[in-house]
Amino acid sequence: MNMLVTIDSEVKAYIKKIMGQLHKWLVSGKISKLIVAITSKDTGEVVERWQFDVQVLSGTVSAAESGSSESAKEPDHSKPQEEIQKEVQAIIRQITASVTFLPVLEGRCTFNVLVYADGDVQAPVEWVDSDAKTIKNAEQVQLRSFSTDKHKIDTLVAYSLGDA
Amino acid sequence: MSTFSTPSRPVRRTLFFNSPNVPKQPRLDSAGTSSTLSFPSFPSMTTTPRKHATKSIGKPNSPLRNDVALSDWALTSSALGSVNSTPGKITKKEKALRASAKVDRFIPNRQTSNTSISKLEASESSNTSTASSDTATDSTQSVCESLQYRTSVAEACGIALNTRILEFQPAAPQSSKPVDLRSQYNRPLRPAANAQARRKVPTGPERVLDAPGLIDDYYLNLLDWSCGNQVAVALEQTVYIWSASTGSVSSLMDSTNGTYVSSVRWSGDGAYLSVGLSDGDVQIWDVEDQTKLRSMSGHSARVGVLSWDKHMLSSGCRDGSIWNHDVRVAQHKVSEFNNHAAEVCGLEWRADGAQLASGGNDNVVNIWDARSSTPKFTKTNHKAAVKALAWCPWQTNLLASGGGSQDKHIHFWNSTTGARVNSIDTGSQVTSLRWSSLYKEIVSSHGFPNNYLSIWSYPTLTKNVDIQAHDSRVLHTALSPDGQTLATCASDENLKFWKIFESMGRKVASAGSTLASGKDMAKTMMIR
Repeated sequence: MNMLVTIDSEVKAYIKKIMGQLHKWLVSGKISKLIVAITSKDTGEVVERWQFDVQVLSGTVSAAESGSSESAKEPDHSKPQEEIQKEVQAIIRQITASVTFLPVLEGRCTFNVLVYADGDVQAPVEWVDSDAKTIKNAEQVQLRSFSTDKHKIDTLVAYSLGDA
Repeated sequence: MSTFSTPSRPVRRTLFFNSPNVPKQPRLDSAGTSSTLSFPSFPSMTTTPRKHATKSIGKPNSPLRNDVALSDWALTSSALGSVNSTPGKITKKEKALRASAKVDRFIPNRQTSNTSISKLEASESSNTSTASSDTATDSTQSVCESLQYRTSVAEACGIALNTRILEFQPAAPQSSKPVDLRSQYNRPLRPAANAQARRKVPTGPERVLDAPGLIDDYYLNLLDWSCGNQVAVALEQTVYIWSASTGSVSSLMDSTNGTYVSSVRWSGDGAYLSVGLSDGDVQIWDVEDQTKLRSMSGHSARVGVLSWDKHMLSSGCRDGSIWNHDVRVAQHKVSEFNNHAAEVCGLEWRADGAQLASGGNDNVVNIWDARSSTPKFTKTNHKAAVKALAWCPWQTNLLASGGGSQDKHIHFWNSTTGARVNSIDTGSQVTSLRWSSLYKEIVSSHGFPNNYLSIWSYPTLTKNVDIQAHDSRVLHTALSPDGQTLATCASDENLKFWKIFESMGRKVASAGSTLASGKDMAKTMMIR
């Protein structure tokens, strides 16, 4: 099973911009969900929806309130890094393997990135309010989770089975 | 709060939802929930300029649902002021009273419920409140109240409170190249010969000579190119020698009246030319001296094909017999191969002289062992006369044979096992086959309909190029001694030269290794 990495510099720059903002939000615990919606270019329908639920673990919230930079340095009861990496690897492996059950994407597609943010979040100009981009009659598959000291991430993929 | 200080246009339109008096609104930091979103207040219909309202509602990128959520959220602050336009027209005092009267926050009283519903309905068009200075107690009470109907409204609408769904607006970059996933998932096991891998072959002739009077007969072999770089071509009764090095032409011989030359073939050293005649005579000529060395008669019919193996000359006759002549001895006929029922038109010794391949008008390919007079293999796969025969220069036991107009196939044989290893349907009569000594390729010449020269890669059998060579069927071909140039002559009476296996500076030396000096050869091979 191959994992493909984009080499398109435009896509890289695009994702980098998103990730920069996500980083700020994640550190301050402002977002609860990250959605990657794969949309058909022809029909505009959402055909696949990857949802990553972000749970900010209790200890972090207070830390984030007092100051996000300090919260990063709390050595107490920390999870070993190898374990975290293992969990992340497991998810990536699972996502890669999901091509076996996900329907084949017909035609040309694009993707959108959504976040479920707190109401009082500060959003840069590029981020605008949107609908949830849900899929009607979607099949949902819960994938693995992973957690760090600060966050717990649940993964869920939703896809439409089409006519079948 | 930063967005508030530097509001850009799209955000402002979305977030501030027709509130022209926003800047005048005091901040209510004490409430703890205030934010950029909590500011929008809903001025009454009378105070709101109509223009603003229509503009924000009609905007495509703020869906109705969001507006509901927004206005819901905005109620926090709108409720801080007096709710002048609510249906009940509650005054500030009454409102304060009502708020204090509430005890159970889970069961909102009827008035509150009414308010929330009416708020929801009204939120689209207009609402009330102007900036007013409330007391601190008043504001906390109204926050409590607004929380209640906010939750109830949110429950009714199925909207999670305190969250916004944000989308990264810029569209994802388009892929510049067309994406074809089939190439990813459906990879061929063997990469096809694509345009880049294919060798570039010049499709124009290097030189064209006239060949008037060339007999249009498939079963004859009237063209050969010696290792001394001389081209022999038989035009009816006369054999001409054209020197590729100097461009000079000389007439070697004329046959006697009533006969014509039916085949020519150079000996291996390029010094002698064997000539087959229509009366069954086989003559050997010294080209340097332009003298006939000997005449070997005996065949009862025309000799359509000849092949040399050192001092042995094999001749194929119209009666189907193949005679082997030892040109050194008086009793020249040393053996006879008889297995063809019709005219022999293809005859080719293997380079090492161990095997002889013959093809005939009886559609049979015979592979003979030099020591035996019975064929080692007899192949009947072709459905037409087999004239085109060629032994592979890099794989000794590989023989290619091409069939005539009813057959149109090239078959490849393993002459050790007799197995057919490959086949090509060319779609046209195969008149001759030549292996390239420089490339792993074979060129075939064809008749009707296109009179192509086709170059095939071996063993992939992919067609490299088709060259429309002549106006009528290509009858004979011959390769130059350096292996780069192919001579073709056709019934349109043209003799053409094609540099189809141009060496690009490699392998020339090895190709000319049979000659005295490869370097010299490359120089002399320039066709003038």
